[in-house]
Amino acid sequence: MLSAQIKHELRAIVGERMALTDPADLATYAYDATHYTHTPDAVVVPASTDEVSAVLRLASRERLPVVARGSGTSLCGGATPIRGGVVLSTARLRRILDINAARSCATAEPGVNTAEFMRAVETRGLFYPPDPSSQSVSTLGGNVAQGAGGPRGAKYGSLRDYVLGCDVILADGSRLRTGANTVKNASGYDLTRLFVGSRGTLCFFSQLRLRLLPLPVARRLLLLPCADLAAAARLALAITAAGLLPSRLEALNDQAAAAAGAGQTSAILLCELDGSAPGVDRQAAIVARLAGAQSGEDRAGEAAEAIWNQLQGWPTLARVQVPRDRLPALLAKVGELGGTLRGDWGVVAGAGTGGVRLVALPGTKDAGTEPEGSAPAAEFAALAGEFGLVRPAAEPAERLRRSLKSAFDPRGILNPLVPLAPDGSQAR
Amino acid sequence: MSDHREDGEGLQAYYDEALRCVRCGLCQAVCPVYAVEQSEASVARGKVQLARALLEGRLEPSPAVRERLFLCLNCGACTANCPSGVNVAKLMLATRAQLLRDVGRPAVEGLLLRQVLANPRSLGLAGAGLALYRRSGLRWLAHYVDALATLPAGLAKAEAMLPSRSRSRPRVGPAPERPRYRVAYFAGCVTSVLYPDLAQSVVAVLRQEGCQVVLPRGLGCCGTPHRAYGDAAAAQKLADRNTRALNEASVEAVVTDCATCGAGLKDYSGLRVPVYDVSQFLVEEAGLVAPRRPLAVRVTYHDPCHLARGQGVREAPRRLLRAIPGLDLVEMAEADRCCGGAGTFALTHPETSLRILERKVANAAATGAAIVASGCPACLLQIGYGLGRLAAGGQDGPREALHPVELLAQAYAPP
Repeated sequence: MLSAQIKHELRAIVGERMALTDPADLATYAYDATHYTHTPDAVVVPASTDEVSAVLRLASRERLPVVARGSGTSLCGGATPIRGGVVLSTARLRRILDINAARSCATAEPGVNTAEFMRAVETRGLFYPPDPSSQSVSTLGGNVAQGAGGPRGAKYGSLRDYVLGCDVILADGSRLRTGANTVKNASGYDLTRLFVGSRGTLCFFSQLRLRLLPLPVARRLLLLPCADLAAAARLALAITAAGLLPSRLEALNDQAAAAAGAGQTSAILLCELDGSAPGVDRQAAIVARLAGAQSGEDRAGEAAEAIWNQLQGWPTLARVQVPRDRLPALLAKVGELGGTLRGDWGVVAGAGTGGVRLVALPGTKDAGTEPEGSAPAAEFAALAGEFGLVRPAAEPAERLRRSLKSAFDPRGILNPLVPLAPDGSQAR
Repeated sequence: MSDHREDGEGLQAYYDEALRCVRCGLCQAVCPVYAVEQSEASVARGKVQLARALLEGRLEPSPAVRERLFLCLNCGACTANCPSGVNVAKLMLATRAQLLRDVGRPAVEGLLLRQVLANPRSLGLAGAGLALYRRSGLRWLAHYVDALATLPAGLAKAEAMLPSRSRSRPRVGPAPERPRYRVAYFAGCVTSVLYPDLAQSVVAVLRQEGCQVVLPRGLGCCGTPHRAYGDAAAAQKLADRNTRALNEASVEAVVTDCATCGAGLKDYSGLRVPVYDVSQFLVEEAGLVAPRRPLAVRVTYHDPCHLARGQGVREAPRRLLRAIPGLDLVEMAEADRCCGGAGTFALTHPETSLRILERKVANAAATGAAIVASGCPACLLQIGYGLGRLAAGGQDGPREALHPVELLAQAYAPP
């Protein structure tokens, strides 16, 4: 419980209506997309960097935990106030400040919706590759804090490669600018890359400078039917072994393929190619040869987008990350889980990235009916360890991590208790 | 909504529904209220979690909880798009009903639902009063509307929203010699009170199809507002009364021009007569008599929530419009996104409603249409208000909002 004095100070900073303390409001900021529930003591919705800074100064003085929140789609509890305190919403920090084609760079506030940002740069002939599956609702700030990307990472690299720099507010309310608005900026400690993916434990992101690419001229989506998931993963390996680099490679089990509207009754491999028009055609011919008898139809434009939109509409229940050459073996094992994964749950395997998601398909029953997360999801997630995710030794990594944390946040107020293990397997 | 668990068992019976939500938050992408408010309590996930917190005893029922549950259009976009299949609409009605039992409601809300809407006579009086008020500016009515709307901003809007036409019960005329169908016309509260010309158009087009139209005695409000406000008992009483009147009317079909009434009527459990939206009846059942008189006008169509998602009727009104010679039907972006009217929402949340409306009107204006057609008088009221504001601001846009049946009646009328 916050004292009346602290509530009063919060209201003085962000305004009466933007400091929420009614239990009815607090109950709606007690969770994200995980199954954890912890009620905060207050929710504040600042409208400016100055207000954020003032809230953090106050929180630091009072040793109040602070959890930044975008749209609450974290799958690792990143926006759940595990120790209570203040939830700092980015709902009013939603401006795209600049899109600069000449510098291949955009500047945006953390609350900007990811999909909106992608559309905005596309209208200028530019391209922002990181494509987390939650993009229709997630925010840039949340993506950067979590290091969230998607299938395009296989060709274009991870989100970290697209954050040129950021303005952050540290735990004591002081401000720091990292990186530069240039594509190359080599020397010194790379604080930008340290902050990206730090899950709100080191700083609050108040402005992001993001790298953009020219929008590819041509894009084609090949739908390749496969006997099963493992066969799809083998085909994906064959495609890259042939020297091709598709922009997205996603294997779907039969239920997911049906739900995606791919017009298939078997598992499929979705293979998206982009680049110049002749280049895309040449690559498509090679893929068709590799797929052989399996060679399926291909789609472009809106018909292709419709399929990706379907995929993005499926909430992730569990996630496993493995080196991609282990995918065929892992997916064979996932196939055996079929019975445990009751009914019509879907599996979407990032055949380019090695990330495999267990998803709830439309009409999936009982996906969330077990309050502590579902047993099949946990079983699925447990496969990560079995299939060779490399985990660093606990020491000295843990000691260094603690030193870093206390250097940036000596009072330990920023998102305390959020797990910082390498992003391998989180049961939801 | 044909599930009536809320009548007896209370919210507890819905615990599984609340748990089905995996909290993915994808409802944020489709919720018109969230697009404006950006608060977790404004979106389905937040409301479902409120219900769950109440059920798990982590949250006490309070007027503040109730207020947040009403920050909702009941448009059903979340339910239609929920990957986990949570029936948010059903869960919300049950939660509202529970809160009505636990914390009660403001007196004016009870007055409106139990006295005015539930009583055909007082509704008629209210309609006559509203008509009179428009002409004479009677002050007593201002107080009356004020009491209902509770908010000064709501009052200003209630007044500005009133369409400029008025009369009451439609004339059904003599029965055709050999009627193809005998149908009961269910004219809802909004049509009866505010759009008598629309009611007359419905009768005219039904007669054009060779129908004998009857207006059964004893019909009242369909009960949807009562259910929406959590008053399941009052809703059931109205449903029983209407069911009796319609069953005894010896008709082959019940036809309504109101999307909300249609959705409500189709949900009645004891009704022995099939219910149709008027466009659905004309296009799918009667087989549309081709209208002859051309209407050279560009029209765009807005899908009412309770017609598109509530009844799955999307094509019939469009086919009806396309059947009119010369009429150029142009689709607007986000045609099935809520207009923000949502019954009393426009009065209880004027600012939010207006911002939702502005997006709808902008989408309509972008088509270059002169008329926005929509199969629900409540949407017509809201969109008509938005178009009026657009015109008052000197901006180009459609000039009026009409029911498809009104356009059809024009195309049937002798030149």
